[in-house]
Amino acid sequence: MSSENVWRGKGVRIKFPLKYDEVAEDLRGLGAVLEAIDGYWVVEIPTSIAIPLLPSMDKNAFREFFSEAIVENGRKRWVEDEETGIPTIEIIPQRRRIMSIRLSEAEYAMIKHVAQRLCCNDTTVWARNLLIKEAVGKILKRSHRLMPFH
Amino acid sequence: MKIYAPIEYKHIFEKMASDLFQVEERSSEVIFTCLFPLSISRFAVQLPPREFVTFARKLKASGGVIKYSRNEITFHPFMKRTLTIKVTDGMLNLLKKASERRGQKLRTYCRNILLKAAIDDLEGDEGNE
Repeated sequence: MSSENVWRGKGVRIKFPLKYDEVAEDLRGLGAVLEAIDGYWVVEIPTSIAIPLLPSMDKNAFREFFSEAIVENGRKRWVEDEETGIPTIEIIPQRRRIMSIRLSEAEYAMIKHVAQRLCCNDTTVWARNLLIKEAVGKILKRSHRLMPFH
Repeated sequence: MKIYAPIEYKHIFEKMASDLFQVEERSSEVIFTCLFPLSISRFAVQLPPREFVTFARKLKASGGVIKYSRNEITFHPFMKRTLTIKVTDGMLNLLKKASERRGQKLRTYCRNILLKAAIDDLEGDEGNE
């Protein structure tokens, strides 16, 4: 069974017009599932992803892409770098499942300490990122593009 | 979790001492502090079966339970804390698949990933100091 079949149909879907084939190519390189359906590129990916401003696009064209992109099973967010002003589009999936992990006091204290140091005081974000990296990182080819803090 | 053992078994616990497993000596007993589930094999401590069981029976624990058989003693700290994470359906499926590949339960697989990362990070930290 390929890894795609495990999450196909359950990931976040991004639909955008066929004219944005450079974005499609970029996402294909990332390991996303890509299809052309009814004049749209339909991309499916199992976790959060950041789409950076491509060299061939200016900021206005990228803004237009943002407004034309339809996200199903998740949401999109426009983020600009505070210093450089370079925009990125973040795609954040809906998280409907709750997973509980039982730990001893000592284990919890240790995890909390490491998470606080590395990840903005949020233990669950750190834990989720780590699990995403482990489960998804091997599947997606450029896992550094997975968003770290959502 | 603290394990209390008679002083004559001090050498067994001293072999296991590290940053995560500490040994303390107090009058007639040894106090062994362990942060994680841990097992002691009879073959590692080189005791005959009957003596190994006697050793197991003499151990007392606080903050966890001790289980033993002829060849193994395991220490299980109480799991009092719960870490709750929200994930997508797709991600949950991926994690389930990954845990099946390793032959582990999902919760064990996730626990191991988190604890390994935390220990690696803490050890790296101490190495840098």
